[in-house]
Amino acid sequence: MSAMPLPQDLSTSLDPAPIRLGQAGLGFVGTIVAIDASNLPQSGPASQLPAEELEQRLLEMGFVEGARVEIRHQGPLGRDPIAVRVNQAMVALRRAEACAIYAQPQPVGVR
Amino acid sequence: MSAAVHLDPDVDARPLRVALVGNPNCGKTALFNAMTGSRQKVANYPGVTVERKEGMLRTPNGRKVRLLDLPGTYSLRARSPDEVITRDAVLGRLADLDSPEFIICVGDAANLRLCLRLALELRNLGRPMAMVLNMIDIARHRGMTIDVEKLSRELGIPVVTAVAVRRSGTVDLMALLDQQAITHDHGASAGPLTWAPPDRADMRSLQREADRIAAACVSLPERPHTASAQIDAVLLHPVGGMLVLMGLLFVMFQAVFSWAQVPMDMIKAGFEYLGVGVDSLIAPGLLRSFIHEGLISGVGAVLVFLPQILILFFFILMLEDFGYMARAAFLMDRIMGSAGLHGRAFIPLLSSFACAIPGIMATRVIDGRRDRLVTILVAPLMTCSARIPVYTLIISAFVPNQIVGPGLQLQGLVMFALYAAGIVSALCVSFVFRYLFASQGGAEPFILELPDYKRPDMRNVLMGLKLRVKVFLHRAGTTILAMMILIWALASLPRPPADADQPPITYSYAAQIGKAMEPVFAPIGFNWQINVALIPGMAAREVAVASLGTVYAIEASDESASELGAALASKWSLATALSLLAWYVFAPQCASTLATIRRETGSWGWAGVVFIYMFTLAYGFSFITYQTARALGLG
Repeated sequence: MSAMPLPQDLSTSLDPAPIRLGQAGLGFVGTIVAIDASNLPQSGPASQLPAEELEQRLLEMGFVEGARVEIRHQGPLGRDPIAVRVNQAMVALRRAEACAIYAQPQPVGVR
Repeated sequence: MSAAVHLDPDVDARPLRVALVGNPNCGKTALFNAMTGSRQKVANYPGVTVERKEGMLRTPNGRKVRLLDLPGTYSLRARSPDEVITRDAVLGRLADLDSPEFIICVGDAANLRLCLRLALELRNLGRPMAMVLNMIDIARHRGMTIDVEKLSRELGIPVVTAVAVRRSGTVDLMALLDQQAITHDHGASAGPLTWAPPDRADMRSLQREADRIAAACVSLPERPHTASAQIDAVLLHPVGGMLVLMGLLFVMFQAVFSWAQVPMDMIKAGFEYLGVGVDSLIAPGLLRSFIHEGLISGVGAVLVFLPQILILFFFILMLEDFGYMARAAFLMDRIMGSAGLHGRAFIPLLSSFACAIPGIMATRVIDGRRDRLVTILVAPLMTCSARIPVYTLIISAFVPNQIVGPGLQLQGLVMFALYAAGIVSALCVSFVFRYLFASQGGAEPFILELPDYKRPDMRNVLMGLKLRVKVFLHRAGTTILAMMILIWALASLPRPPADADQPPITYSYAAQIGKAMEPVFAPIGFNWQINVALIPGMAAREVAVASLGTVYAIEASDESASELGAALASKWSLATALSLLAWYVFAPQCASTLATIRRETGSWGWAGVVFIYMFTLAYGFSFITYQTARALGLG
């Protein structure tokens, strides 16, 4: 992906449509299509980082466009935080922050 | 290279400065330990309390190398105080530290993705560097193959493999250092580098490049590694995982309190023996009092906690090495988050059950300033082991030893209630601070790598333990000793008159202060004897027990807890005893904790905040306890 597309464009241009990783269920498998913290829904304990800073931190942990993600575990309270397999590594993060990650679900059967 | 190369003594005299940089969990410290062995020293970077770990080593050809182990980081774009040190050290911005001449980027061979990006970031600095693929045995065992030569070509730097935890696992790395020491131009001193933090676009392109290199050089096995996933299926299970965590905590506390008992008694007996020995050598007087009650008892009062600290850190280091601690933070994040604490605060608060000092020091792993500050401020509310002797004394003297239910014993129940009071109050206080300190920066996100599990390496754990002990002993020998001497002086000076018929402490400044405090503490049921005991109790909480013995004229030699308990039971009302218990849950009765808070926060202001809020809580709860108990006819 050369230029970073805006999330609203993603929903129309890709099939199946990408969803926020923070709103995906346990067992979700997909490919990251965008990291964008500019429009986060307010839910759960959210950090108060500027959008840029949060994106930067997600990038640092290996959440970049094209990476494969899978939600492997979720916390005991409110299904939060989630443990996500990012390529070969496992990263824990809260759903609030994971909402900045847009991932296109992998078609069922292709794993 | 041949042995004949190292000749020039002048060149050889000045060691090559090498820095280890890497992601957290990459086995960097294990590598450092393997390379330097016991030739390590730990100090603090000036102004901050980040530990500076340095060690000397000799390459096979006899070159001296000064190796610096820098805190783990994902990027030079630093966030926590630890990561700032790593960045500044690499860039040569630290005033008292010459910038490294050679950088070794350490990566976990089985998990190279993020490390390759860090390597690219470091490479862009243009300083001589190499990359080490650590734990290569694990990667190979999992069926991964890494084309090291190709990786070296792609990165444009030397790449070697290593197994830090195995003998001769660092041979290639040592050979590389040898080569570096020879080719290095010792005349040129590496100055500070210019560097700009990478922005989002830089980060994306660096990661893409890293992913491209990884795809080209690393081939993954057909069947992915599943051991960690299988363990996680249990340990991260919403119900099972919590049960395991609670079980682990239970075992840990059991160990801290029961295993430590024998060595603690031995240390105590040892210092008592030493004191008696001094008594037989020196005539009674100020000097004897200073050496026995000031120095020996003072140091002994702190050293007696060494076994508990050792056992607690043994568990923590083992679990850390195994990879469990990040999982514990994952399980606890939401629960602690509801009280305004960060998931990572779990480990520091856990340590605080042994002693708040290592707990406060352990808050360095928390990135956000506000999250870290809140954790530091509430850590002293955790029931540290120094409170136990006080609790035990009062409970055994005042709470009847009766069974109140199946397996429930009243004394144990009171002890449990005191622990619970500490935890609940810590949660409430952090909830309040979270809103009060909005200006200290926003809440940090919880983003934490869960490393693959691996078998803990005993040598590594023991070296980590040795380090903790060294830090603790150093503190006991300096700050705490100074406090002890001050408190001894207050409790021993001026000397009693020759015709004194009261215990000597009644003539001291401490007694004067205790009596002066009487109007303040009378509403919470404390008499002046308790006030006096609280002063030496500032050195270490449990010293108050010995002081009560002194004030109530029970000879130190034949003092026993039950005797003191009996004396107290006849002299105090139950209301006073309960009030003192409430006091000890909250009171800022530990000078060394306050000193540690000052050091970790960089200002006496925060130590003052802790003192004031804890004092207020202590006074308030003691007041309520005492007045309620009296109203119920227990006064």
